[in-house]
Amino acid sequence: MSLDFAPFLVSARLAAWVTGILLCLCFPLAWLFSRSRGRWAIWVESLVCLPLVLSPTVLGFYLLVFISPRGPLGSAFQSLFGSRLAFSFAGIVLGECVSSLPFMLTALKTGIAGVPEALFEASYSLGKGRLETAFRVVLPNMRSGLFAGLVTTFAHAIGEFGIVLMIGGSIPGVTKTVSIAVYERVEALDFANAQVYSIILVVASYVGIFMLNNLKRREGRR
Amino acid sequence: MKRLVCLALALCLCCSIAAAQEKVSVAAAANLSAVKDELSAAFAKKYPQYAAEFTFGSSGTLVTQIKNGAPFQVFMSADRGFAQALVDAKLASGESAVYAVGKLILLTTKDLDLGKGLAVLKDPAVAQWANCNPETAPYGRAAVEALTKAGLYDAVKPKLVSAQNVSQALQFTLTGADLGFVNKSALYSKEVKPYDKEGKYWIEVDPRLYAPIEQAFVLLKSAEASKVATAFSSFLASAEAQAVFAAYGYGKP
Repeated sequence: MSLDFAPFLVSARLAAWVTGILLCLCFPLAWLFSRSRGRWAIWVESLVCLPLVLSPTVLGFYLLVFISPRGPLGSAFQSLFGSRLAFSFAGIVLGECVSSLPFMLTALKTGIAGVPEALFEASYSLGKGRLETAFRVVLPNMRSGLFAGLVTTFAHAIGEFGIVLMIGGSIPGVTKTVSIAVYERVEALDFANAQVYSIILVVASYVGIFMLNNLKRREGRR
Repeated sequence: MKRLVCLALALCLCCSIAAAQEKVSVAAAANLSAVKDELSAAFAKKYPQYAAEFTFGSSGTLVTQIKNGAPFQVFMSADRGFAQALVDAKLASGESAVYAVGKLILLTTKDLDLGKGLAVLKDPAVAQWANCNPETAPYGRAAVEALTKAGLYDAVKPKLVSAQNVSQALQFTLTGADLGFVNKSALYSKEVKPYDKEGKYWIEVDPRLYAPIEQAFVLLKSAEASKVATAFSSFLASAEAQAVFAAYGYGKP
């Protein structure tokens, strides 16, 4: 039995990129959505949360059309970076950013909403701007929300299957993630390797969820 | 409330009328998807009381599903091997039989010099080419075999984009990839029609480069007693079915 560990590396790299990008992207969005009273916010928020309920195949289909070399996004990417977006690592990072966005956004929003209003007011009245308030007051006080966002996004990015199947092209070491590897092993009737991949995934997921619940419980006791 | 009940009853009635026509459930290799409608029509013409219902996938996928209890009655493989796997697993009724011989083509939607034959894959203009998983899809295996025999496989492998079945290879070829190995019958589907220009958009892969794709089917043991399933399996050997396969570019068994 020869086990190929490259799919784990691809998945880990992919999840790290997706989590990092979404953290930077979702924090300002979450701030906006949790503190804005504007009526437009709910429209935008509903739009970006669509992947929560939409089938990954719908996303996969649209992404495939948009990122193909003839699609608007694909051709723009190619003229900017000189490489293809379809069937590339950047392509699946993009796809998973879209599909994992609601997970990060919801967690961060809950986190920001949990920070007492008084802290915001204190910071503002001491003459601190929004940026400094965000980094020195809000972020340190929403640790569990932040952690929840990181863990659920990372885990979701590892587990995502449908989109990667549709736009990845299963290129070893590039777009062949561990979820795809499990699928292909099962298809090839190679249950032994599918078993090994799956057990590792189950254990890793359990550890992640356990850590998350543990942190929540400790925060609750405070 | 009353209206709702009436509506529900009407719906049930509609469903039961639709179910009155006996259906055979066929697990079919993805390369057959273009042939499906005409094959169903020919079957319904020969046996007006019956209908056929198809589920498509790569042959390997379907075998896995059947081995794990998927309720199919007939399995139409893209080769002999996967059909034989069900015979070996004692899940088939009798032996497998070849119903058509598949042909492999190289398809593009771009302006490439197909005159070079398979060597076009080495062209710098080709950044990505699509093929289906050779482990589970016979057409994928044939393509790898042909490229290996032509001494090209190792050189062009880094540009390979891998699909789960031959339909997805076609979908990749029509969207993101520059070229792809697909079944010849794909040329008859609506999406590919604009590219049905031999030499310009597709070339047939030299059949001497790969073992013939003898597509075999089996009647599953669980369906031995089903009249519609046995009718469908005898239909597959009939002249009517053979005419349909011939019309879609398949070779005679």
